[in-house]
Amino acid sequence: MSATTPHAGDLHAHRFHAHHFDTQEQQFQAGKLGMWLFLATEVLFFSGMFCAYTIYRVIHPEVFAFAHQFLDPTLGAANTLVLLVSSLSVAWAVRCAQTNKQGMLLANLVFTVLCAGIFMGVKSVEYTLKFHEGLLWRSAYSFVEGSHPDLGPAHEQLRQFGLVSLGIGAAIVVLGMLVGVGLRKARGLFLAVALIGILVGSVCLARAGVVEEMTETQMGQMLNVGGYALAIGLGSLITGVILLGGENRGARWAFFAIAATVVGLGAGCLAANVYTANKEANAHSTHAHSTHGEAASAAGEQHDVSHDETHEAGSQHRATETTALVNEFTEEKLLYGGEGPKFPGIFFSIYYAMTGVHAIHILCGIGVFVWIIYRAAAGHFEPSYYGPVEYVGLYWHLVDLIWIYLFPLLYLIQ
Amino acid sequence: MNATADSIDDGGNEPAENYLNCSNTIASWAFTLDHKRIGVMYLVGICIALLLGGLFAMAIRLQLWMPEGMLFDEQMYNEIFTLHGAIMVFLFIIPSVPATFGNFFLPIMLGAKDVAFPRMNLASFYLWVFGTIFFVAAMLFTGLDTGWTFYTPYSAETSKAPVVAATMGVFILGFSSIFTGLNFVVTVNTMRPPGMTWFRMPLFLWSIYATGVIQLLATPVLGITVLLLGAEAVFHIGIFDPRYGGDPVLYQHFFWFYSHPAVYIMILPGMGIISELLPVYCRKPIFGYKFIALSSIAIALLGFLVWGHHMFVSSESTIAAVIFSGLTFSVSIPSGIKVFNWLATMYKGNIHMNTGMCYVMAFMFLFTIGGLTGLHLGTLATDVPLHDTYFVVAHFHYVMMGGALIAFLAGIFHWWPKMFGKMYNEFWGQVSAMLVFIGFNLTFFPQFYLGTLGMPRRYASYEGREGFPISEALVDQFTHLHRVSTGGAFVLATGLVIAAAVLLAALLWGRRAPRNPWGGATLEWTCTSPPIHSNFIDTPSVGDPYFYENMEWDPELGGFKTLPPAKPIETSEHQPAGSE
Repeated sequence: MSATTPHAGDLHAHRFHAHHFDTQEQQFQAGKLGMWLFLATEVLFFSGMFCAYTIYRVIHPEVFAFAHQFLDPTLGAANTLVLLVSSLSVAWAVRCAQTNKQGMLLANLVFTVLCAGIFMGVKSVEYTLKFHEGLLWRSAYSFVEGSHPDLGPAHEQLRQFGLVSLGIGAAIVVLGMLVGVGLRKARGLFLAVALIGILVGSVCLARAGVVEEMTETQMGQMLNVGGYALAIGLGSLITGVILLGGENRGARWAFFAIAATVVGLGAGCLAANVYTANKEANAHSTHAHSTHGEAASAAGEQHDVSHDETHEAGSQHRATETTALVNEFTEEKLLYGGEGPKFPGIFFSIYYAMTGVHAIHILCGIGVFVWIIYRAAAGHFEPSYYGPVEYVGLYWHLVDLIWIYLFPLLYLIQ
Repeated sequence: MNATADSIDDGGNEPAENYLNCSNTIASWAFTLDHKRIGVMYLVGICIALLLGGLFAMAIRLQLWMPEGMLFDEQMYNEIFTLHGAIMVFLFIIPSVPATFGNFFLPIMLGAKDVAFPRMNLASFYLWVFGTIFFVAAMLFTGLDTGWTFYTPYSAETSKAPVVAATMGVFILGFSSIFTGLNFVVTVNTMRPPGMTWFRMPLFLWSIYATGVIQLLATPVLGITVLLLGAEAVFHIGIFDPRYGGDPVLYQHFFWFYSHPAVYIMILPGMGIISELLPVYCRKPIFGYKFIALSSIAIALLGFLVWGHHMFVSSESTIAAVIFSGLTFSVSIPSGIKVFNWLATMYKGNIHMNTGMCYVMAFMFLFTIGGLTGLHLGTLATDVPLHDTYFVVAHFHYVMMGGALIAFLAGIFHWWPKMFGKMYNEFWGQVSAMLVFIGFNLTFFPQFYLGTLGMPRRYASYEGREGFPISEALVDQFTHLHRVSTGGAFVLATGLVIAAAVLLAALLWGRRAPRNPWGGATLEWTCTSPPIHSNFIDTPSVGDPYFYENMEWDPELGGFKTLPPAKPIETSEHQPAGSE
């Protein structure tokens, strides 16, 4: 961590030279060592889950061989590629800072968050579809072999999500332009909108959760309105806070960074959605069975008793009911605990733990990149001071590297 | 820089402004980046934690006065000992020495103005505060009763709210600990002044460095463990919970992979304090500097290889148990190196029995007992009957409390004049040390005996019950021993209260502390008492941290003064840190 406040008293020192370091070089080395040590803690943090993965794969190889077929290697490979490219761009950004190419520095950083957005978009498609099919962790796993879950609503939902994200991204760009021509005084307005949005959103969501005698459509509307209101509220809040910070150029680029992330999210989501929908359609037209029914091994699950209800209630709108059903399944599963690859839930427990924690790291990375882009646009980085770019780059490489391990371990099991 | 007669100032004319009074708004403390103020805030915080944990300890001791239990029912008793253990481990011992003395003195001993990342340092403190409030509130309001170890399957089966809240608290506290450790490792690596090579560092810094390495390498594993445990409790992911095909022993492996090294997070800084104080009070250079320094690193590394000895009776395979048992004994080698070097330092020394030294002596006695009884538990054949008895309780209290807490007290008496610029009453300080020593042994020595008699730990009563009969004679024996222990606990508590009173009284009525009251040669004794905001006016010259020939007692100052050197002190030509 380096100082961001200039030390006015010290005329000889660089403006970001912290007073307790003797030299710039010492400050840079300290920051770099700090980041490397932090990365060591990250490796150990993930090591727990890799350890759990190893143990359960050794104990239940058949579960892993069976369950990994629910993951689509094409989507995984696409995400791997996206992250590799982003690793390249962030390394390039460091080089640009060293050679004082301010334009390329910004372009590379924004491209990196764009990639991070695409990654999350693809991820959201993967997660949403699995949630709809009941491919969940151990106790909530409710996928029934041979069933044909109707993923239409899920695809429709994802399409909407992708389009709205693209729209929000575009809106943020416009907003950023406006900020650039001097809308700083409007920060009060933004904060007010933020307050209203967050209030309305929370109330809608709370109502959807609390009121029971509501039809599914009403509930759906409530959730949609709530979600969007909350999104707008949070967006305005971020805008207002950035405007409070001042420094126009930095603020504008921070907007563009957020816009790039959201656009990436939308684009990734739409592309992956189209891909999966097509794949399903093809599978339906060529076979009588669904893709998953085909992929699944012959040993069927014992509990197709209530799968129709599950699948009706599969949409997130009826959370409580789903939970109840899930518990029924759970009890039943316990009876058949020891037989064959019937309980792919453990695979998905590990899948969600590992990819979920990894995705949280991506989100943190996006947050830090927005801050770095703010500083880069404000002209803070130059050949004699570029530590923060390099530290964040190191972090990003690690997040990338962890995915490089996750991809084959989860998607490419033989 | 060479020390000359002119540049030596022993504190006759201290500047009026120091780090305590250079600014005094609340914000100037709340948002301070000064490592000294953060250290002081930590000191206040962990003393509150110690008080809380101590009160619960007294409640436990009172409960066991009667064979049928005196105060609580079983559920309540479970909650009380969970609170005691969790508060003492996570809130007191782990941050105690590094976060207070480490923060305060590490930069000063390096002649630096601050730690490498001051903002991260402040963040560490607030994470600690936030985690503490969260953790304690969670335990008080939801009745966590799993013990501080959160063993599955019980922790995954019992009501989930307390487990989730407490594990989140531990997660936050873990971050606080990582931030502190990371800061110290980077500071020592990159900010040592010219002339201070690795083997010219004060030993306290070696031990804090080793502690930082453990904090960095072990704490993240605890982080993921409690995260998975929380997920297990809420979602039943089937990794630790056998009802869902999980493995409860896997949890124990994960947990102890952190928590055994954490034992060394607790004791290593204490050992560093002892290594620092002994030569000062014996007026003699430390014996075997390199061995003490390297043994800290050896303990840190070996500490990672022995976690399996907590699971000798948890269905661990025989071969694993044998290996872990063997590795466990290896830790006694560096620990023994330290103890023998300390003894050799005292040999023919001019021992001053100041309060600090009294606590050091108490440490050496108690830690040695704690360490030697550890051998019984590391031996497979004796661990089986002793496992989960009061023998274990006594063993780790001798190490944790007799070691870490006593060292903390030694440090606080040694450095109090430097931190707050006031001298305390030596006589009452010595009385407190005596009471703590006697009270401690009265409390915990009988527990070794209780354990060998078969008294299990964590039981709310020992009168026996249907299905678990117990003979009259044994109940009598248990009762006597428990009562001695409870009586001792009150002596111990009295000693601690007196210690606190002595220190607080010093703040109000103590005479002004000179620059170097004990004659220490490390750099903190060259700055004013209390230090100024930027620690030093000029960068101090680095000398041998254990060279006492060039100073003598000055009755006028009430402290030691440096004699002008007969020949100029050589400054090393070594490159500054970071280039090695």
